[in-house]
Amino acid sequence: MSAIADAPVDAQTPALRIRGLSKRFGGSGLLGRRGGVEALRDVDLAIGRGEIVALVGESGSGKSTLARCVARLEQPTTGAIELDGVDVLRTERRGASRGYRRRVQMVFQDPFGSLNPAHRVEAVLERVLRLHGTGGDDVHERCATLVESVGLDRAVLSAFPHELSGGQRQRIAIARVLAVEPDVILADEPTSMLDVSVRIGVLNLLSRLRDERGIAVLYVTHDLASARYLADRIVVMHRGRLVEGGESMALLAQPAHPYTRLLVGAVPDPARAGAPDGDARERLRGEIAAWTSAPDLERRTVDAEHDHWVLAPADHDTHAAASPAASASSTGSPLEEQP
Amino acid sequence: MSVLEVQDLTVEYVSDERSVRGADRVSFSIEQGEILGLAGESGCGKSTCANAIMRLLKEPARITGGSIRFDGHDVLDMDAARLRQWRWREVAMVFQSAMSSLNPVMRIGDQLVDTLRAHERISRADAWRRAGELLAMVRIDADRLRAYPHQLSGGQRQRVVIAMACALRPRLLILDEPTTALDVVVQQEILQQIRELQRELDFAVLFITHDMSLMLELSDRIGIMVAGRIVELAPAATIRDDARHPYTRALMGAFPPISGPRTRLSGLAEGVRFTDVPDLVEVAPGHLVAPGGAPIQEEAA
Repeated sequence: MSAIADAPVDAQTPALRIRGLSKRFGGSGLLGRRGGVEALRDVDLAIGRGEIVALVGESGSGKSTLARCVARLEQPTTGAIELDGVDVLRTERRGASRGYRRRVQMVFQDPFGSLNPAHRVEAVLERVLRLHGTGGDDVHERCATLVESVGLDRAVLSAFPHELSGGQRQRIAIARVLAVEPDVILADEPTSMLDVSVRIGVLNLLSRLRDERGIAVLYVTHDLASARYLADRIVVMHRGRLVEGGESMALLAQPAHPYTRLLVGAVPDPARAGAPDGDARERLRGEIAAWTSAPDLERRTVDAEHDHWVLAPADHDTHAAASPAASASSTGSPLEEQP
Repeated sequence: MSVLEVQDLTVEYVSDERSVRGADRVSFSIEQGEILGLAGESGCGKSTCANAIMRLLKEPARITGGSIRFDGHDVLDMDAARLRQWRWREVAMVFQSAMSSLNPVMRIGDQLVDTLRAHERISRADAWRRAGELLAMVRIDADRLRAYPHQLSGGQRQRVVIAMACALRPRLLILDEPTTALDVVVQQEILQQIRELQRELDFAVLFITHDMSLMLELSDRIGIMVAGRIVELAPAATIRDDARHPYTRALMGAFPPISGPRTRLSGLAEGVRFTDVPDLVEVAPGHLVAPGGAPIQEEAA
């Protein structure tokens, strides 16, 4: 096992810290730093132990690229990924060590493609236990405990993946992740391919793993309502940048960035009378363009108590911008509150 | 008179050994200018119903019972020639992946012109002008007529398809998951577009989706389907505030709200099945519920 896995655990350091992470696709020049597409730009993010952070954004915003970089499936162009204060991009240049992979595990979107169709569930789990040296004689019993811990009956151990529903398969994928007792789970749209009625069950399972085992979760989603339901904190990604972050309820009650306001206003809400109109949307789009193209962007504190910040133009008065939404109650739509 | 009246519609998928009922004694009607939603999970039979209404079912699916009446006319009785006339002119459908149903090697304008000229005696020049008006109607600049589909965004392509569906001013528009593949902001724009068009042209809509939040926002009345059966049918507000059937409640509980207090939801436990759903009973004016219904186990996660 590597040095990382054996490093002392300090409750004060976050489970995982990302610093200045950038990723450019298809660039030229030294390390591809010229041209191409900037998928991630200077991303800073810390995930605390036992914390669920939702990373939200639209398709193409870069949220999956960030998860894949942290999972070491993509090599970032610059930046640091720190586990226990050690930058693994420096210490494990050529790819993640087994120690890192044990502690940072990924759950994919597609439970139909992520399990070997030729193996019974028990073989899938057993293999992981043995690979990570935690097999032993009672391996059958440990597999049974694993599937029961994700809310399934131990009878599924003898089933093949095709005999299980999408929801059951995703639970097996989570059980496989739990087999190695990770500190961090990266969940990339883990419910979007499941039938709607079983999605909540998978979210509840992630929530329970946080509560009972102190596992940190990076929940990547385009669904703001589910982020609000599950996550302690939400960070919003727009064109490769994190543009806003904060405790879920506080951030959604008064989103400060125009992009967040656009997203929040677009979520269907049966409790809201009348949807926001096209003019409000166009105004926000104009604001987003102005904010995004501003020469100097800086992280501003919106509300320190709720860890709420926004990436705003340096010459922008954040409080003036946030105030129209701030006057809205938590049930109001920020879009409707636009002047 | 209702625009559409579906009575005891039964569709079976037939094979040598057995047959499966995709839709099972389904009844509902849609009034002029009304938006009726059919909600349910994949495989519940909502798209089967839509395809049956359009007479688009292919083997091994067969309509084995019930009736479909459009403006009082028996749809199941129409011959091929009558169907060709009736589809698109009277009832149009937008499919889930409609934005990829545009011909990639044909300009948008030519595709709209073809649609118009297939159903109306109209000169090319007039059709081209109408096509421009149609694009304007869905807020796309008329100079995009010369664009190819790949030059438009997904949302724009979906709007072109909706414009095409509205081209002949149908009395009924069937929308089968029209926004499923789109980002949330685009989705909102499309739905708003549909609402505006509907107000302007006063057509009826059959709206199909698995997303209850969307369904509640757009629909006047909602039918909840499971295993080929409608288990509850009521005005949208009733479904939202006073759902009676356990499956309806489970489906409602599957969508966390974006406002209000954060409460724990439970959804539907793995493996719960609904079989032998009895006929609907009117429990209040306009509110129909299938009695009984399997008790929903609480999710253990």
